[in-house]
Amino acid sequence: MRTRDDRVRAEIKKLCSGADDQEISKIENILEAATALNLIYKVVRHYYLMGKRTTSMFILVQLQMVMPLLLEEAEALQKAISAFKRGQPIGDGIGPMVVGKMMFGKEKKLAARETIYSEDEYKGRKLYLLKAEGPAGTVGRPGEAITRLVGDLGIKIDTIIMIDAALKLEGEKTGDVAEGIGVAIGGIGVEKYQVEEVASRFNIPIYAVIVKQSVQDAITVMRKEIADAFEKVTNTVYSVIEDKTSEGQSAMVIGVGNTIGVGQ
Amino acid sequence: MMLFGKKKEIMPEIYSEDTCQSCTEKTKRRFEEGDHVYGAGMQCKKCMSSKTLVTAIYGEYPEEDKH
Repeated sequence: MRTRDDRVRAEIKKLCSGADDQEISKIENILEAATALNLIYKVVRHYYLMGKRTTSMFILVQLQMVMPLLLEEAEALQKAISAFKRGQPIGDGIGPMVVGKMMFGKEKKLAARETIYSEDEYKGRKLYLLKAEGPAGTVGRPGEAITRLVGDLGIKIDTIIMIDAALKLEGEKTGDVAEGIGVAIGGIGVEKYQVEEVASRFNIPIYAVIVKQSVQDAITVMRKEIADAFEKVTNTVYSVIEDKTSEGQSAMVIGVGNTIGVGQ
Repeated sequence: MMLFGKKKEIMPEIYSEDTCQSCTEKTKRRFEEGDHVYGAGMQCKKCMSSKTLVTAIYGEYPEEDKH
C-alpha cells in the first residue's frame, strides 16, 4: 500500500513539476476517484460483453439488477472529483474538522507522515489531539502515529477516543451522532490493527464517536446536515473525556478521515 | 419502459461560514477558491474586524434531494 502511494505521488510529481504538496494531494485524490470510476466502467463492460458473447440473458439481468447501485456510486465519484479539485471538505472530513478546532492555535508536532498532534488540557486531563495535516487531501497515518507516540516515545495514554464518519443504513438520518466502543477507522485494516495492537499492549480502552452518512455523502462535499453535527460531536467527545477519565489522566482524541479543505 | 433513465443531476450550492473572532458574528457566503476550514475568512460585516475564521464549508442541496 505504501509503495503504491509513493509510486503514485512520484508519478504526479514527475508530471506536474512545481506543484506544491497540497496540489499533489488533490491530484492524488482525483486520480483515486478516477481510477474507481474506470473500474466500474470496466466491470460493467465485462458483464455486458460477456452477456452478448454467450447470449445469456441471466448475465445481463445480473448487470441490470446492480445497475442502479453502480450508477449511484459512479455519480458520487464524479461529484467527488469536483470537490477534490476545488479543495472542499468532504463528509469523511468531520472527524478532522472537530479535532482541527480543538487543535486550533496550539503548537503542532509531526507524529507520522502527514499526521500531526497537539497537546492540550481539559478539566485537569491531558489531551493529545491527532489528525492528518490539512488542508491537504490526506488521511494521514494515525496507526503509525499512535504506535510512535505511545509505543516508541512512551507517552502515557489512559483513553483513546476516535471520531469518524460511519456508513448509515437506508432510513437512518444523515448527520446523526452515535457513541460506541472500539476502533472507528476504515481502510483495508492496517491502521485498525496498528491502533488495536497498541491499545491491547498498553491496556487502553478505545471509544468511538461517529457521524452517520451514506457512501455518497462521505466522498462528496460535506452536507450541511453533517457540518451541523459539529457541535454535538464536540460535546459528545468532551463528555466521553469527563466520563471515562479522571483528573490527572490523559486521553488521545483522533480525528479520522480525509482532511481535504480542513486546516487546524 | 425506461430501465436506465438518467436522473437530472442536482448540484449543491457550496457555502463558507465565517465566524468573527472579535464579536462571534457568523456570516454565510458563497464558497470561494482557496477557502478552507480554520483558514482566514472575509471581513466581519458587523464589527468590520478582519479577524475572522472559516468555521465550516458545506453544500446545501434543494429540499427534494435530502435523504
